[in-house]
Formats: sequence, structure tokens, C-alpha cells
Amino acid sequence: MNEFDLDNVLERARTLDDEAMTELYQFYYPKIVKFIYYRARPNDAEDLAGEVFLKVIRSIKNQRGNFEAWLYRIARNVIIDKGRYMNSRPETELNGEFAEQIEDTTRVHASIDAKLDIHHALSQVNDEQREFLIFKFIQGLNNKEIAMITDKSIGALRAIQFRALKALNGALS
Amino acid sequence: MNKAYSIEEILDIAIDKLIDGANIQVILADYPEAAEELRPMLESVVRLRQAPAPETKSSIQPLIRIIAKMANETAFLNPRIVNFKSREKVLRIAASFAIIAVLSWGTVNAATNTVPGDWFYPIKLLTEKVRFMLSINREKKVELKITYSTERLKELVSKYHSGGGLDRNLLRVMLDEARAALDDGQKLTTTTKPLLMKRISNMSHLQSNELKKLQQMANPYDKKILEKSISRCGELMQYCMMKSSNEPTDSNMSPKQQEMMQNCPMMKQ
Repeated sequence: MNEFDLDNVLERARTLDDEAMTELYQFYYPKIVKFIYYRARPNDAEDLAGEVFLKVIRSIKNQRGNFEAWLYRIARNVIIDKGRYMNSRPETELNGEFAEQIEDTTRVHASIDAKLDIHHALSQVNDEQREFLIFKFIQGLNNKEIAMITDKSIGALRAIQFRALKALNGALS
Repeated sequence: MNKAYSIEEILDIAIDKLIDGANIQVILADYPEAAEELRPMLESVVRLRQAPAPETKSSIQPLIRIIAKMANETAFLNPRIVNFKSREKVLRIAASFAIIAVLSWGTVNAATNTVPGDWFYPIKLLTEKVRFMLSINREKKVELKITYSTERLKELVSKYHSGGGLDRNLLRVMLDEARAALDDGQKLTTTTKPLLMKRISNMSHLQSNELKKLQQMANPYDKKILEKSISRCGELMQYCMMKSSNEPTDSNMSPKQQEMMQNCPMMKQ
């Protein structure tokens, strides 16, 4: 979906056009699941993504400005509201599927290793740093977009980025 | 290293280059004094950017929740605040989402014969809810309640015979739906009221019979619960039967009818 399409879809979505809402859902749902998946507990990702879209439907009529920033702000709030920060529950973050596959070593493959490594590493950095790393490197947002979501200055974000990557290195090494 | 830039700024520039596709070696060559510090950070960036996306094949679950919540919320919207068009729009979105949910699951006709615990059971309940909300006609609403109460009975029996035991929640919902059908039915002023009362009475009769069959197989604890439920079905049946005979008033009822009415527990509530 390019910028022009997004504008067009948003315009219709604000009038609660069902087709436009469906397009938004199909395009952004995987992104939001991915964000929550790494940001909160994997098991909760799809549940919380559902909550996010429910809030979108409730309030899209009044949405103005950058849609993605608005959407991610909703996702952040949903995570906060549910109190499901990784820090608050430092026990295992693996869902049933992962745990099952780890037990059966023949089925363990690279993508699971990668998910586990990254999950573990992300759980070692503080909340602010984790959020930045996910926004920038997993979700692919730029500093300006992250600034709109988090209300932080570009300078502050650069400092967070530096400290976050330092901390992450320690966890990944 | 360019002294005009802090290490944070250099890292940011280096990351931008990396994201644009530049090679780490090439980037570090521009900042030899910071290379040692930057290298592991850029390597971490590469790993993070390769983080696999979670599979979302079970996206039907949150969709069901969204739709169900939307349906619930719409059901309780104050009609003075939200006009019918807005309500209709929200329902249309719910319907679109339901279509995605069904298509993404790939089993379009699986919802109709499900029982609690099945994946598709929430869709079945949702479909019922949406149908009920879209019905403006009061008689139709009573008919739907009769249908849903009968449906809960079928599920209850089906679950019991498949080894799921007595589902007390289903039993409760079945009786509640039947009672709601009666309550709504009594408010009707149309000529079809006696007919609907007759239908509720027949339904209660059927439910009472089916529960009696279950009772024969049930354990002592469930037997007691079923006993109470059978009794409630009996009361409902008796009451509706009397109400279905052209709404007799006390003055034009036969002595036998008056006696039945006085003895019926539903009249005492």
C-alpha cells in the first residue's frame, strides 16, 4: 500500500467503510502482531492485536495526522493497559509451539533459534530501549516516525539507540 | 573520526547507510576511529532486522473477539445517541471481518454443527447475535430466542453423548433463552402471540423430555441439577400452554383453567 493508497483508504475508513476497514486490517494486522510479539509476550500478540483493531474501529473517525504513528500509539497503550510488559513477567517467553519444538531437537530450525535469541536479548534491555529497537529495526520505522509515536526528540532517540545497541550486544554475545 | 559528530550521531548515520544497503566494512571504513565500537552494534542491527515475523495463521481468534465485542457493543448502544445508520455500518464491518475470519480458516460450513470447545463455536454464537440484532421485528426476535434455546439443547445433548458431561452453562443459557422468549413474547400485542406461546410451550416440552433422558444416565449430582431444570421446563410449558389459548382473562377462564393458573409457579414470580 503506497502513500496515495493509504490516504484513500483512510479517507474511506474514517466513514467506517467496511471495505476500507478490511484493507487496513489486512495490511496492518501482521505488522501490529509482529510489534506486540517482540514487545510483549508472544502468546499475547494476537489477542492484543485484536484489541488494537477494536480501538481503531472505535476511534478512526476522529483520527488525523500520521496514521501509523497513531496506530502504534494505540498498540503501546494496549500493551501498557494489559500490564504485559516483558519486565513484569521475566519468566519464559516461549509459547507452546516453541517449547514443543525445542524439546524435539530434530525439529529445531534456524528461524526458531533466531526468534529465541532475539527474544532473549530484547528481554535483557530496559523497556525504553526495547521499544526503540523494535520500532526501528523490527518494524522498520525511521527516527522521525518513532519521535511522533514516543514524543521524544531525535537527539534523545539517538542516545537511546546508542545505549540500546550497546546493551543488546552484551545480551547477544 | 569527524569531531563535529558525537558517537550517537555517527552510529545513526552508519545505521542509515546500513539500512540503505551498504556493507558494514564499507561503512566502518568511513569511521576508522569508531570502527571497533560500531561493528558489534551494526551487526546487532543486521540480526534484529532479520527477526522472523510470527506466524499469524491463527488470526481467526482475535478476529472473533473483535467481531464479538463489536456485536456486543452495538447491541447496547443507546439508540438516542447512535442512529441506525452508524449501527449498521459497525455491523457491516463486523460482517466483513467475519468473512475474512471464515475465509482464513477455510472451513465455511463448519460453524453450524459445532459445540462449545470447537474453534468455530464462537462464530456460531456471533452469527446468532448478529442475526438477532439485525431483526427489527419483535415477533422475529421471539422466534429467534426459541430457535437459540432449542439449539442450546441440541448442543447440550450432543456434548453429553460425546463424553463431555453435563454442560451446566449450556443448560443455564438454554433456560434463560426460553425465559427471555416468554418475557418478550408476553409483550406482543399481535395476533401471532398465542401461536408463539404455543411454540414456546412445545419447545419446553421437548426440552423437558430430552433432559429426562439425560437424567437417566447422569450421576447423582447432575441428576439433581437436571431435576430442577426439568421442573423449570415444565412450569414454562404449563404457563405458555395456558397463555396460548387466546389470552383468557380470569373472568372468562374455565374453573379448571383458573386452578391451573393459580397452581403454576410461573404465575407466582
